Amino acid sequence: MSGLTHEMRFHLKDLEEDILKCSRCGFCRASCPVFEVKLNESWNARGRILLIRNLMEEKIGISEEFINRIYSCTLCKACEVTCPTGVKTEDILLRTRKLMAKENLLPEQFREMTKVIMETGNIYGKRMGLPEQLKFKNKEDRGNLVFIGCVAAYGYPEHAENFLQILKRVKYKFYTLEEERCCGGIMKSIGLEEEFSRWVKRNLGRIETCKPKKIISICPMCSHTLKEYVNKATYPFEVVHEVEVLRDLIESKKIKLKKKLDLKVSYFDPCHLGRYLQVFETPRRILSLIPGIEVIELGRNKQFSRCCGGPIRSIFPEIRDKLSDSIFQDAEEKGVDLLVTSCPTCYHNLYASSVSFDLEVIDLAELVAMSMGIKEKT
Amino acid sequence: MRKKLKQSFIDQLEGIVGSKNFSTNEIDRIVYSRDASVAEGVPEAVVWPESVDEISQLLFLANKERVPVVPRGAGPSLSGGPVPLRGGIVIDLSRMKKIISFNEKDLQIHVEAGCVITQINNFLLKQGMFFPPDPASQDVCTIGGAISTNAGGMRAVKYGVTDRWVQALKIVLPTGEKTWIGTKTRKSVSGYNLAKLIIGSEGTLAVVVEAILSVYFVPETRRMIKAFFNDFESAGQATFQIMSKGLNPSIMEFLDEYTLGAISKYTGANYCRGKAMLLIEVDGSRDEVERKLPKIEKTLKENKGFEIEVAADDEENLKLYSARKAAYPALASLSLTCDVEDATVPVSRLPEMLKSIERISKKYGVYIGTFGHVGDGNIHPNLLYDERKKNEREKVEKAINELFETAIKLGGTLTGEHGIGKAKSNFMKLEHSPESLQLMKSIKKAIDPNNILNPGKMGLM
Repeated sequence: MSGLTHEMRFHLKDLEEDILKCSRCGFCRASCPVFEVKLNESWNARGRILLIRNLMEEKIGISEEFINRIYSCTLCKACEVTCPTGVKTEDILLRTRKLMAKENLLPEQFREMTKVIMETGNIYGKRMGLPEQLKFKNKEDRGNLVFIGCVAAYGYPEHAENFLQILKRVKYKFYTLEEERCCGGIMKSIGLEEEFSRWVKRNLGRIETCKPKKIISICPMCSHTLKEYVNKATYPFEVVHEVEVLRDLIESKKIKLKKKLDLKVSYFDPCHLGRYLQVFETPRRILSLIPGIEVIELGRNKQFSRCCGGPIRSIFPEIRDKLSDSIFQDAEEKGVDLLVTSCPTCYHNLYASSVSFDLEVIDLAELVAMSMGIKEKT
Repeated sequence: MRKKLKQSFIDQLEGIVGSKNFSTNEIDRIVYSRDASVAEGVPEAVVWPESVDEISQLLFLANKERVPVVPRGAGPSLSGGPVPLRGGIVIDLSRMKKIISFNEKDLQIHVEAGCVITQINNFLLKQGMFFPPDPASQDVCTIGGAISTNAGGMRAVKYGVTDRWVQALKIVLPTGEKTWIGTKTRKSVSGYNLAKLIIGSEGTLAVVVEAILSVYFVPETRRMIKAFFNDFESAGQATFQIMSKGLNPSIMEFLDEYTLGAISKYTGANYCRGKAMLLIEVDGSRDEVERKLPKIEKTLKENKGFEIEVAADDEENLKLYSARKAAYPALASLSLTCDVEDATVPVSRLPEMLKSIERISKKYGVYIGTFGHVGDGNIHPNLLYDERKKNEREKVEKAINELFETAIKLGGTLTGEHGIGKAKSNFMKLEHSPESLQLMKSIKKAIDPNNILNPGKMGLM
């Protein structure tokens, strides 16, 4: 059990007004996906904020259980949607984690993960070259850079390949980096702000040397991380997610969706694309333009979408499993053929659950590739 | 002062519910020390039972050892009701959330106490039915909590509060006995109405573990009407007349000038007109609604209502409903702390109550935004302040005292739907005679002789 250092005491006070905005009505119980699994107040937004308040008031210290509760939040922002007083839980937790991480009061797995990223450049823990099929050279200044991100590049290269092949087919000019590195978003969510800052600066330095006009990211977390930083530091390029490019190419008829797919699907909104970047309609628009696709909304969708549990999978794998299972249960009740998403991390977590259900998960770009005839329907 | 829980007691408790449903960890205890009120009290243990038998064994044990037990649902309460003021054990019923059965012939649903109202309604809507009580916290509040506080909501003006929809309850007494009370029949005059006694007793007499509820058909259609007024008397008169003409609205809401300003700022739509707005909904068959709408419009006009507008479709309905739902967040966004009261007066005394609220606001220099369910005289003055500032807290406390006194003088009650809990415990004497208070204490003593169930609440013991 740790008491408060002078520095923590000083900075926790900065959180006071934000914490006191919580009226403890508990409306976050309706949306917090982790609470839905645990059904214990200390695993809910209201509980976590009350714990931070008690820490600030020095009624409690930082115990292992305290660390668990603070780090069990997936930062999915669902609680902010149902909060009537506008409490910014994600921000409060990030700032608290920052203070805790400075004192090394964070789960060992997260510290280890950061070390791995710093050493190898990605979350997989070994230095890897970009798969050949994802290498596209930069032939012009001010071009479109596809920032694949480490999960899609090394974990699911076939997803990245689908997207790149679509671009190639419609003669959309783009290039990729020689090595894909983690965007650093994980470090930020852990609270390792200094490490994150250094990392993202280095990443953007690499990006700047090839002078892109636009960065197209495949992973929503990369989109959000880069966008936030780029905006803050006024870099001369814009950041978009792949679904925004796909939608534009489909609507301008450059992408021709010819093949009828005859599928009933539900779309799962990734937190970073949905609640963070407010991109809800674009993927649905794409699905609506694919011949033969019928979209049936999940019970919890858009702003109210659940979280796949990705951010806490290394420390609470059992919660992650239940979170992604609940998304599948929702989809199964809707009687759909496929669950579609547009985030490689969500895909990873949902895929782990798919084995227990008679239902598969698919990346949105793959459906587009199928309808274009680039990829066979399996 | 009671002694700390003995280790042997803790071990037995854990033995009853199992280690995954039990905690004495500080982190778990702290989060059960509060609800949405200012009351505070840290329990010594928290349990999440999964069966009625576990609760029964737990109460038997607690009663034997004289350990306080506080049942809790979702805890959105504004009264301190589920706060363990004297330590002991909190029983969180959230994990008992099964819908046990639905009887479509008798229009009844059998549920566990931890079911959330919206969960019940999501199930019922598929059958074209609904459970009418709609407390603002319906997306999170458990049916057990709604029963224990006899919760209301906007549509209570037509459909009544929770007790109207409760047929029978399975309860566990403080001594550990389990029993069903109430009836599955529509009528019954067989013995004391024990179910009505338990409803609204805030967990002081028994733990509600299951309920058989009546449900009703979703109305064919709903339409909303809004009107603005330049003074409270006119808005109050219009309310009174709509109610007394038997027009039976399903929502009859009032919003004052200050609240309308806050909503306008919060939503971006402009609702700033006159002194007040009435928001009325009628539901039922299309014929019935079409018949009532012109009569309501006429009554509003006769009482100097202006910019009277009937929602043309569901979208406009939703817009108006959302504006009303934005009242609390809009007011809460104006200050650090927002204390919601719920003094209730006879509908005929509403204009006086509303004027008194204005006077009290000026007298103590406290911003008060008022909205609420005027159709049943239940209004919510929202007192805005900064809880960190002692002088503001003191002013608010005085203003609240005067609000209660005024409501009682006007023939009203301390609380229309939030409950007494800890927050209004000291005011019970204002409303109830010494004899009736003594009667309440005698009932409590007869059922819970050792005062283990939710002690320190409702001005009892």
